Amino acid sequence: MKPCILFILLLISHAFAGKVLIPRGAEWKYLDDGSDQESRWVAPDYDDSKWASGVAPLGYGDKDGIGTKISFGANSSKKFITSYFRRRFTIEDPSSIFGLQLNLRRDDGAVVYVNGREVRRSAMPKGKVRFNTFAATTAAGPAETAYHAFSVPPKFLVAGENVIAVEVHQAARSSSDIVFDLDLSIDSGSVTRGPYLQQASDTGLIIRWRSSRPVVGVVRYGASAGELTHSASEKKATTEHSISIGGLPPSSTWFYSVGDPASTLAGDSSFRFTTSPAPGTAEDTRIWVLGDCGTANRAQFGVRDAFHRFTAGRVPDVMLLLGDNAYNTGTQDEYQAAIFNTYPTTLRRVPVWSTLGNHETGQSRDFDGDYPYFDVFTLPTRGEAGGEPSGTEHYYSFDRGQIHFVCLDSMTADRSPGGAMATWLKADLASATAPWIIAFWHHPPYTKGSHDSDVEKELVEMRKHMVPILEAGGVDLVLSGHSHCYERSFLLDRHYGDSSSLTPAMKKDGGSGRPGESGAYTKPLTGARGHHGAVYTVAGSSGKRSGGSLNHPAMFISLNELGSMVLDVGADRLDATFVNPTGKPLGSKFSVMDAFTIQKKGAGK
Amino acid sequence: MLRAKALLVLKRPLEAAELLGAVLRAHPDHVPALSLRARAYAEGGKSEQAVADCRRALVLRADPDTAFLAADLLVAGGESGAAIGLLDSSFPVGARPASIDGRALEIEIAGGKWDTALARLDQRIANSKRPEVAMARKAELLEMAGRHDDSISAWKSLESRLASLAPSVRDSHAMSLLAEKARKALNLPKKTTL
Repeated sequence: MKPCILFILLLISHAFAGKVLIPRGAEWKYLDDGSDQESRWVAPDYDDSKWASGVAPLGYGDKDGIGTKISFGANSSKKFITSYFRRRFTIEDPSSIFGLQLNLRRDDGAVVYVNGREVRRSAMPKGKVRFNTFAATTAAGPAETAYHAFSVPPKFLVAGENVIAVEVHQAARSSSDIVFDLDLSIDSGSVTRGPYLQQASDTGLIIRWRSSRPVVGVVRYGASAGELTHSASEKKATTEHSISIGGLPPSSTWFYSVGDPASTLAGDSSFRFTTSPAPGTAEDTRIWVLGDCGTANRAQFGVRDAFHRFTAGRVPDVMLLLGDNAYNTGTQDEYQAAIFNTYPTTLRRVPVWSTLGNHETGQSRDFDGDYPYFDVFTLPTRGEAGGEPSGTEHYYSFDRGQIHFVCLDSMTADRSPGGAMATWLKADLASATAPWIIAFWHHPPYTKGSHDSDVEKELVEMRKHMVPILEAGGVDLVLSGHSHCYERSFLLDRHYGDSSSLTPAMKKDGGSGRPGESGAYTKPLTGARGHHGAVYTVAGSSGKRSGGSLNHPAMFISLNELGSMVLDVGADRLDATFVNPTGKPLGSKFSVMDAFTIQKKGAGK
Repeated sequence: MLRAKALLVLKRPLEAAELLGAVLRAHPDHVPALSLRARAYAEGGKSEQAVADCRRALVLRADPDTAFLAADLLVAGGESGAAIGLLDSSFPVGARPASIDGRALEIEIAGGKWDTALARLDQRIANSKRPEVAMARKAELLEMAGRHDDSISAWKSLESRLASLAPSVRDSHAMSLLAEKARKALNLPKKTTL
């Protein structure tokens, strides 16, 4: 297995330690007189008040540090065979946990009891164990310091005080050493997906994750990683967790962890989110745009790594997925590989929004299909993050500061001018007051890449029926994928026919949109600004590139190159950059292969 | 399901509907099958059955596209009242998307049901975070209904409302369009062409 893949797997499937009940080096009661305690000493109510106490590791003869030296008797060649240890611990609600994780260090063998019942024996023979039973094997070398992991099922536990008792046996009376120590913690399973952030608004968001076992999910959050003073929890146990956090101030940063009522499953200083700026507030926003990224291969990883090198310490504020996020049919396993295993550190900090691609539906055009996509994402239907309620996760809008985002479904929704999506879109744009409007969907209205917008139905219909509504509504930028290339238009308006119908008048600005060349594209900042032009990009090469004629006349630039887009949006300026991975391994360097700027100033007429 | 889809592509909708019937007998709450059969029935000219499937699907999982399909079938069958009823009941009160209200409004206007249309707009004005769009629509509708004075009054209300907004909102594209409409209506108080 390659090191990078191994790292990712470790990252996502690491079994996080739950609440520690007994740490290593804890204080234990012990009896070291070689006596026959029969079976009564394991009972919870056994009176061990006359036993000695000492910190672990307890034993003798071991080179690696003994916390408490215990007795082996008067004769070193006829040492006591068995030593006894007891300790109490508390569990509030055994029914809420899966069990305990026990790590035992024993030299030579041991039997462990919880509340009087044997839960584990290690290096001990089968059958009845008595005070003069020898261990089955001799612990030597690394085995003397090794901790052996065991699970303790919850059926052995009681609410309140519990007792763990351990007898450690020598393998021979002449053996030079014995050692005992253990740690005990609540076994809460592991986080196998996420956490990831959904429906971010200026007052809160939804945190989702998947656990290896059903638990009652809890999010703990606070103003610093060390002070997670707030919490929100689910009502019942599940493996697919979704917890909504609300009532937060705009633009506020919060650290968080995810777990269950007893323990933290995942969370450190890298687990943090920032609420969106209040609607209308000018705040620089970085948006990372990935189209058709879901190959889960070297190309996708290279695009990702190039972005991280480009952005350096600037964590993006929004992550947009343009569909075909997980090849080949958008199954849960494919999403795990292409999204959750590929962008784990970004997803825990950056809210992700997506649109439906043809590979999310397995090429089905059924609006009501039960696609895994809708289980993976929690998208707004009631205007939870701003915008007009759409009543469906297929298409929706949301606000972030000065940006209004519109997501459309170009695959399964009715694309007709009188359909539900178009009707909603008109209403949404009619009440959108943000200075910037960015729309995204999967099938591009203009492309001559691996797909052709002159002939393919979805592309034609989106161009004919949705683009006019968007342009009348003042859209600034349209993002799409589907063609596995990068294509970026001039500042366009009213180009609703096929590629041969493009006229010079439809280019509101036929330049590069680059301040150092022909200048930024300019649009009014205030007032009515419908039909002042929009830039259309195809950014479908975040996971593969598939060529094509790449000669659509509406495009200023067309590239058969891998990459992702970065948008930096301020109060009156939008800078877009196409970041391409280079170097060996792919993505160890990056190059900027296109950039353009939309500058807003003055008032529209 | 796949076979039914293939039959739909082959323009054999009633065979598709029959096949989906078997699926639905085993899984009566299977929304994708219900929606697909509704489409099949619609394409096969069996509007009543299509609407019934849409109704069932909407109860199980509300979505605007299914509501639109059913409403369009009802309108085509001359049952505008039933179409409006279906649209209104497809989503819980307070969670009705603009698309649903928009479609219902179109049907009401086409049928000359001014009062119900105006009541719908009043509800949107009361419940919407951005009531200005519905305020403008109400003013337009009052003019269409021949209630010129009320229309002028509604445009003035909108103008006042817009004037009270924060400059960044008032100067937005969307609000600027409404302001322009209001100005035109108030300066030229003739019947508005929609």
